[in-house]
Amino acid sequence: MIKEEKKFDIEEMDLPEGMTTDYLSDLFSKYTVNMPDECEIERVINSLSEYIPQKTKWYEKLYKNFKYFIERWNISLYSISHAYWIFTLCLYIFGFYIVYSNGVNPYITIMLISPLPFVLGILEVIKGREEGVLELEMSCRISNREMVFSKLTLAGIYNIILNTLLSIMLININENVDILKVTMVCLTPFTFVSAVSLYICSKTRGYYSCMACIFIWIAISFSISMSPKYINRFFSIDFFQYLLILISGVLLLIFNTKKFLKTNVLEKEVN
Amino acid sequence: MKLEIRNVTKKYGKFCAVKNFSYEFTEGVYGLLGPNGAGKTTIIRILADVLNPTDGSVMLNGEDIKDMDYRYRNLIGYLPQDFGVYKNFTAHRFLMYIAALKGLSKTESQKRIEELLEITNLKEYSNVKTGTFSGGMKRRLGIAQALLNDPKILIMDEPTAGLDPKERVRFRNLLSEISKDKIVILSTHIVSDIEYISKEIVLIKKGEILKTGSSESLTNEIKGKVWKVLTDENGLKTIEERFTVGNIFRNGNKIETRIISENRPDDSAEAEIPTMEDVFLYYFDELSE
Amino acid sequence: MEDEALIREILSGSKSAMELLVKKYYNIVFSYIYRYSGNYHLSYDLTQETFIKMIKAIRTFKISDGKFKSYILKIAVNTCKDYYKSNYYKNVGKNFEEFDDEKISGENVSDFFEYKEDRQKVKKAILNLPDFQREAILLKFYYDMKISEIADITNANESTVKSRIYQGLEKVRKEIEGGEKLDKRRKEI
Ligand SMILES: Nc1ncnc2c1ncn2[C@@H]1O[C@H](COP(=O)(O)OP(=O)(O)OP(=O)(O)O)[C@@H](O)[C@H]1O
Ligand SMILES: [Mg+2]
Repeated sequence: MIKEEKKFDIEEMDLPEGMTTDYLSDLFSKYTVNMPDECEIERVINSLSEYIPQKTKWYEKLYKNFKYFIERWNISLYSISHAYWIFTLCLYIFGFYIVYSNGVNPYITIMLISPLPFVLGILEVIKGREEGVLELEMSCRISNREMVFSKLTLAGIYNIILNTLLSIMLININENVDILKVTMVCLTPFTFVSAVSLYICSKTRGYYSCMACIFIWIAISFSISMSPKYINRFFSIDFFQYLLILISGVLLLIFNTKKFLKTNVLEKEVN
Repeated sequence: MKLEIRNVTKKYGKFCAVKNFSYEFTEGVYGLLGPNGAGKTTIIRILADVLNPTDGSVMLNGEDIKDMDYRYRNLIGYLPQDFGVYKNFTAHRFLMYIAALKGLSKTESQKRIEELLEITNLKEYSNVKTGTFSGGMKRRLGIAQALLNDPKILIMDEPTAGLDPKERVRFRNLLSEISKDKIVILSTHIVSDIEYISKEIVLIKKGEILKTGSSESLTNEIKGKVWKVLTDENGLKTIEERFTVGNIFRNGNKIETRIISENRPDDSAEAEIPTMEDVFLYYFDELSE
Repeated sequence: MEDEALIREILSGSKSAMELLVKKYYNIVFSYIYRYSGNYHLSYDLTQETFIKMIKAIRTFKISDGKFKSYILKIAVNTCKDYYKSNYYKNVGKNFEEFDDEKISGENVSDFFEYKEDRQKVKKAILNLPDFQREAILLKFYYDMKISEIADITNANESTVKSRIYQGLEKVRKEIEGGEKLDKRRKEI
């Protein structure tokens, strides 16, 4: 309880007749307050500490981010279906097999399958909405936004690993295969097709539009494979032009990932 | 613990689903009761932090849940009204996945999942794909997942939809067992689910609070407005035209009707003790007109 | 430590600076909110809310804007106002009028009762004031704010503040003296 002697400055104002400083001080000091105990103040301090901006060293940050992603990817592994891993792996084995035994053009093969794991990964990401689990996922501690991002990055990294492995194997079985050219025909479709698929999925939010992307890409690949002159023209551009294409592909991919995250999860609307 | 809805409004386009809604929850079971389209799910979603209100806020112990973000979601367990599962997951895997999203460690989750499968009577289906589950089994899986993180705030939208009477009783007992130190918020239009276990019932109509109170006080308030009238086929027609009619029992030619009416509908009418079901009819019947 | 230095430390991530700041201003904020609302339970929550709003906005606080005390009181004033605007309060809050849980260690029992009665009278008189008068009077007589500061905190101009205080005081006196007369009459009977 505090019952302070009230001191206040009344120079600057008029008071109703008969009210003196003493009178007022006596009057107001009667309305005492029981101060809460320490634990109430502790409670406030605890909840405030969440809002203190944290300064950490760069390597601590790095370690934290690393741990964070490992954790999130671990959870992503739970939700991505086994079928996804098996199917994509088979796709690459099949690709290698037809080049190896049937002599199919290695460039066409790797071009065709190089963006598929990621685009199929998008399907896994929007599965939650499709099967009505999204609302529940959104109410969990780890936000849906984090999960979508982690699943996308996981699918992206997985895709790049598969592409690298296939490229290495193709180079090993056939010394005519050029390392730069292989990189070109796998990275260009990977960035552009992924970016376009993300764009379309963020516009339509649909399972089927994502499937459509895959089929359109397959159709395009086949028509390209029918007329090798396109490929040859593509191969004739110089390194810097190629670098330009690649950079614009990567930028497009980043831009559309952001867009996808925004339209898919940020607005808390479940329909 | 105090969870407060403060002046929450939710608009879908021009349509106002929830209007300037304010309420306060403390430990105990609360039932949101209202007819279809009253706005129960909308409020529940806002409480579960899956829907942003157009206006207003939800505060937990004086802290806005938007500021608390994951700290708030860490405290809640939520069962949505339309609850889907990944069909090719087994029950166990689904629960492991949700547990991971709730930030539980693997060993923690294993133990908890065992317990919850037992409680919800799903133990033998632990390794069965959820795609083969019946509606009631899915609902029970939903109840299990909501309890994974031992939530301080449990929010369930029509938790008993699709449960058989035996499971319903089990669920009710479960709730009264665990609700001691929790805020439990249920929405339903099945009166018997909440009649005996809830500390307070909130009657909602067209996005606004119509009335709140314990089931005792709500039934007391309509004392003397519930009647039993004996009649026959011809009489029934006029009664249905003039009054809000509850249950109708046929017994040969005789028909016994339960009527909600401000005044004695008929000299032969006998006053009945009101139940929550009568309360529901009393407050929500005009809606169908 | 000066408030300015504390705030600088908080901005650079010091938790202990925040603790010091909270401990320094807790009583001021809490007592304002309690005196404004007359309800302990509510005051705990609104006090927490006030501090959270403060820390979220602390980046934008400039020393040149004035004293930290008036800054945080301004947040407290607005937090209370917002709460009482809420229609939850209109529906339910008013019925929650708590019974007074003031614990007083009076040596003399009759003194204690007299004191309690007086306190109750002043409390009631203040709580019965319209909120803008109550704000001004609390800020003036409990926190010794200057008229110009009160004007800033309550978003009004100085002459308005002065007249609010004047009228508020008259009302308080009326309520207390009226009550006393009533009491006397009661005792006579
Ligand atoms: N996404 C939406 N877009 C437009 N209107 C909506 C949307 N969701 C709900 N509504 C409308 O808001 C109102 C309240 O819906 P809500 O689902 O909250 O009702 P409810 O009380 O849960 O009903 P029920 O008992 O049928 O579950 C309804 O009229 C509904 O049509
Ligand atoms: Mg609903």
